[in-house]
Amino acid sequence: MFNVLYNDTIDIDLAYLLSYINDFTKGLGEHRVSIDPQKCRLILLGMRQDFPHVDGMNHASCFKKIANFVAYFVAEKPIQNPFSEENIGSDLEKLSNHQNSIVALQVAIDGLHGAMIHRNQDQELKVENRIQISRHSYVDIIDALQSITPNTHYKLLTILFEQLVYKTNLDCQYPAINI
Amino acid sequence: MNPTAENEVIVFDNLVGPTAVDGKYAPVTMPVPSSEPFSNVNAAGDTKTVVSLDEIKEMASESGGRLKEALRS
Repeated sequence: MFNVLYNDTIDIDLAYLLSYINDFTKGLGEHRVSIDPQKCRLILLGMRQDFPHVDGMNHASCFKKIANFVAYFVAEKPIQNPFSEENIGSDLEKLSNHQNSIVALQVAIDGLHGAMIHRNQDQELKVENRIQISRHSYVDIIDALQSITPNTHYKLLTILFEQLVYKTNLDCQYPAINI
Repeated sequence: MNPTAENEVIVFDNLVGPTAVDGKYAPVTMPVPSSEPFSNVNAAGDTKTVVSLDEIKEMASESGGRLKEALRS
């Protein structure tokens, strides 16, 4: 068994990431997608080193892991050619770096669907339901992701993914309070 | 793909990468990584578990198609 990301070796992560991008872009209708595999390797390396969590990568939640990947991926911009208006629509096509934001967000959505949340030492929760967002929110999120960096956006991204998952998986949420 | 096979290369047939020649691109490939036993070192939570590269490819393809459909509407 493997994980979508954060496997034992970077080579396995790289094979999975490139395979994901290869087939995701095919499904989207994009052909001959120009990508820098060396940047992908650096992303996978960077997101593990100095993981921004007090107890390190191995004790970080799936939300923190995914958020760190997304921040590194979008900041490094490994996919060079923008996607076509025909496939993604004009409102997304005009956003700079949309191709990297779109791929990173989709890896996050797929990587969190079925992810495990370990809580209170003996409680294990599975994210059973996929993240769902409106088209309007989707465009806004891609817009907001355009120029993120790991240093400045990792924490906010972690909270964003956590809240998006909780929206369709109420049982995974900590008890809500009125504030 | 058999992740334990040796001397095999994965060809990503929809991806092209830069070469030593400026402006020239070539198909992206990588050696099949040697598979190691999965160890659950991620104490606080793991991303989705998959059993094979084929599962990743199927998931990605469905995601791409789903997104294209959603953005078209």
